[in-house]
Amino acid sequence: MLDFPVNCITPADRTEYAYRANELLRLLHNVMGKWHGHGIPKSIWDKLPAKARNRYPYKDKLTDVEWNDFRANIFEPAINKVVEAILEQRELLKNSSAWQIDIEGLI
Amino acid sequence: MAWLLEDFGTYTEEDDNTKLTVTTNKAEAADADRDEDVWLYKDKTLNYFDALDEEFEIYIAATSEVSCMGGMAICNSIGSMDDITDGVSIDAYNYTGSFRMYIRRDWNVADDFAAISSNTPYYCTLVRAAGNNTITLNIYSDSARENLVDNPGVAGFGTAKFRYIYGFINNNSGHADRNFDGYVQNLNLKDAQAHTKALSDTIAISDAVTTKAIGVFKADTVNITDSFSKVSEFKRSISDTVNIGDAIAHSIGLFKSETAMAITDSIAKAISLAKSESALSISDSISKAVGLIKGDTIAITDICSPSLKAFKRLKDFTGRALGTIIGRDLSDDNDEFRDLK
Repeated sequence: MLDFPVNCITPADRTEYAYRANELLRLLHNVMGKWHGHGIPKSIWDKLPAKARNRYPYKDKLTDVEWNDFRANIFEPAINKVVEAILEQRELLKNSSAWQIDIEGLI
Repeated sequence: MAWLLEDFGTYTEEDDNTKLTVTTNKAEAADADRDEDVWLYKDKTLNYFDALDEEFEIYIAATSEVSCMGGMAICNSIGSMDDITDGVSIDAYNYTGSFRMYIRRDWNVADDFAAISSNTPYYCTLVRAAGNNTITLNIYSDSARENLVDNPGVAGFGTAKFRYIYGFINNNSGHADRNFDGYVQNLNLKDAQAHTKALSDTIAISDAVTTKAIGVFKADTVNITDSFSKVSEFKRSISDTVNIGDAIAHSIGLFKSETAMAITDSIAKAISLAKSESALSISDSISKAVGLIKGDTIAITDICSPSLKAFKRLKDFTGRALGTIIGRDLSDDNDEFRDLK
């Protein structure tokens, strides 16, 4: 389960939070992927989350073992939680009665 | 680890109007419309798919018409996309001129999508933990799968397991003029192919050993694990044997060329020496000795008869000499000389 901030309560807020989390994870994935495939300068590495920096010290390229470790043990568990949260909140939004929808006006 | 891709040649094709071109790892559709069946599937047996980590590539051409659909699926039914009642399907879709990649649960029960581009190959991974309620489609722009474009997902699968895999599937909803141009290729069911790969390697190793060793050994490769042990043992045995053989050959060679010849030479030399030197010398010596002895003997013998006369004369001389000396005539006192008188 994704842990939301205490002030993130409504399905709309949580959906927004989860989508942004998903996007940040996607960007992190791609930086790590670029590091593995092509290498990144240390200035980019310095901006990685501390957990990633501690686990993967700076070098020219991320090794295959480190890349697979990142995907299996960091990225996938995190993205799975986020996707499930998005899908859950989206269902809540679909069934939300926060707004009165004029179906007549839609068709 | 290198995985083997799905061989679409082993799949069953339903293609009403020959819109699909199937090669080993690629199923390419041209003008696959939504009023016809165009699909390619394989029965992997009941409950084969649970955890998912399946890779494939999807491409939708810009020539595809609005509302066309083409992709792949994993489910428990046979038919087009709209026939799926228990499974997941992936499709590239022309949405009024913009393109999307959909992941759907059953037929339009639940879905999610990502915006994509036409004329661009996308490298996808369908992901699900065993028994998990959610299936996610990771869409990458590169074959190394390092650049994630999007990751739409769908929930609600519960703990369902699936049986059929589709190398290509369209949606036959009865609507015409929604032609799909594109392909699905390089489908990689990593969990299933690992076993086949290992088996293939084992056979190759056994074959190699068999070729190099003995044909009978091939029959032992039915049990792969045993085969490995036997290969190892057998190889070692052969190696040892060959070494011994070599040693023997070497020894024989040495014996023939060196030891034996040396011995022969020695013997020959010894014999030669014996013949030419020792033996002949001895023989000669013996002969010489014998000859000398013989000669001496013969000489002695020859001398013996005449010696008697000489001896008589000597006796006469000696006797007279002695008689003269002692005053006695020894001939009178010694009968043994009587015959000589």
